Amino acid sequence: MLGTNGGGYANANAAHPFENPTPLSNFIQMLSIFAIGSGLTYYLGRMVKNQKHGWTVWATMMALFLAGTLLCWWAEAKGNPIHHQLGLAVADGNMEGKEVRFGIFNSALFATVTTDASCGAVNSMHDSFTALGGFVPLFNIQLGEIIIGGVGAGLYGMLVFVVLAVFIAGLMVGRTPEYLGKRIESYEVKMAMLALLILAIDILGFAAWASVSKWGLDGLNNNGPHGLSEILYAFSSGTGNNGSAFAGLTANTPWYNTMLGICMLIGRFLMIVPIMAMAGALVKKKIAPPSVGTFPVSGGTFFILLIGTVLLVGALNFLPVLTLGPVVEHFLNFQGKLY
Amino acid sequence: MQSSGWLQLALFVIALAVITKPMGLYLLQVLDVNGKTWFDPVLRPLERITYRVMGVDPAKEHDWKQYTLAMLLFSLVSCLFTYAILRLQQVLPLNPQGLGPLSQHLAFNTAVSFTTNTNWQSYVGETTMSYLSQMVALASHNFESAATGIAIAAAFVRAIARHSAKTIGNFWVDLVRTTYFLLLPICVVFALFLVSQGMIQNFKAYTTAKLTEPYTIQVQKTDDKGQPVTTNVVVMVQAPKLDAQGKPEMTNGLAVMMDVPQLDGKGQPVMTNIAVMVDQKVETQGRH
Repeated sequence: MLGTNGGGYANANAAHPFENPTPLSNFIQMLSIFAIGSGLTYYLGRMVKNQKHGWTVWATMMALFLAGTLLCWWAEAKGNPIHHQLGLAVADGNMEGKEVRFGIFNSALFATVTTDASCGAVNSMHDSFTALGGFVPLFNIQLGEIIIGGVGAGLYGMLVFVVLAVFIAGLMVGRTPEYLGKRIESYEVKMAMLALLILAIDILGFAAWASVSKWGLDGLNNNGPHGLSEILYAFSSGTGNNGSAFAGLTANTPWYNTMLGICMLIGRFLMIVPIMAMAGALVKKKIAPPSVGTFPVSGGTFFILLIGTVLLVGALNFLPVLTLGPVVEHFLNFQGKLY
Repeated sequence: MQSSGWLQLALFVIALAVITKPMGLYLLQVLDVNGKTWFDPVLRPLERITYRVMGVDPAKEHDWKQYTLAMLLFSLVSCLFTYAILRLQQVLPLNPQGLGPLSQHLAFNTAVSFTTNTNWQSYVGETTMSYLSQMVALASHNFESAATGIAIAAAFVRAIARHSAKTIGNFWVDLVRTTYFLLLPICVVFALFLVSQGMIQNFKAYTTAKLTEPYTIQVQKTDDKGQPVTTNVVVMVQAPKLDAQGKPEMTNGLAVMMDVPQLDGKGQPVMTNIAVMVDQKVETQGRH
């Protein structure tokens, strides 16, 4: 938990009473998932001697976290539209695949927390979430797990977006982009884009391959858009080093084990190398004293810019495939089709 | 969306905001080779011994290539170590269930998964992993992979904070200090807390529980060689019942049916083998 590893002793993971005995243990486990990642933003502020910058990064993460939690909670509490049409809906919402001890809210919160960070411990079955409820954990991972994120990984992932945001802002106002007094030049932006492209290619490439091959389709337990979500989730989870599963996918086969293994290696180490190369370039640069024209990396404008960059990059990369998965499933649910 | 949920969400965000600053200040000490923490008297000597054993000079910093290379090397070695344990768990100790080795692809998947801080689990923990595999091969990565991530983040932040420099810290120092001063102390406290909440772990073989309400099931009877006992019986078919005149007996316009032996072409009854079933009382449940 603390190290956002998320590996469980038992198969049911944090829904198992031996691994998550009480409401208090549930709460503390969720808190511990975020603890170090959250502390690292403060560390960032202290180190660069701009505490406001640290808190702005933190606030950006929290805003994205709250948006995800609320959407997921709302979708789950609303429940399955077909149950409503049949008059079968329970007052609680969609309880399928959830631990009765935790209920809707704590399942939705846990799902959002575990995928914002790259933890991957679960206390409910993400596969049984409603279409939109399941969309949130999936998209969280695809954003690169920069919402608090995996310990360390969340911060360096977010800093890639910070560099990009500064670069985009610089282009918009026609000034040389500067980050904390350092000029952001083509080398840094190339490395940042390389890291993001590796993320997208790793997820989309492998998921696309699995969707059209026999080894990929053999493992499915659901067909249609929900099946696509299952495959997509597996490779997103692997690449993002999350490790939670949508379940519903029989992944203990030679093909899936090998492919997901390669996918995880790329997602971790091929991401780190360009980021470290960027660090190597940044450390050499001189710091120019701030002037009137310096774009501030704290406060409201930067906050909105950073959220915009994160969502824009995430949406451009993954919206097409998400439309074919959870989004189309959501609308088909209203027409009475289930997967 | 009930009010209890909103309350918990608010509590969660506030709790997180409150711990962020102390955690950040503590990280500042942990990620500085000369940083000071409460645990110095106990862990400092251990830290020094670790550097000596590893042959690391904590004062010497790395540039980005050396740092990345050290990280990759460390990950590779620890990944191979886990792979080896998973493949050999049947001959290693702490395996009271006698669980067999993992297949090559599953061991590869699992070793990579834990090295990369993913922890994707393609297996069912209880029926696949021995206690040794869980505790040594897998749990060690929960520290190492987390410390690796924190180290990379720290190096990146240093790169932003420093100027006109070349080095971004020493990977081995970051790794060791994060594990000793950050993860170990918190995990000890956290584990004790979870135990207090009722979480368990032991080295015993799985226990067999006695049922409070035993029930009976029908099982095949077997002989002393374990072979199912069978018996030869006549195959019965349904045919209309005939009265004294050889006409079908009728009730309310329907022929009355009865069971008669099925006959083969020579007029002999057809026989078949079926297993003999006996009642067995079920009083316990569990594996082994």
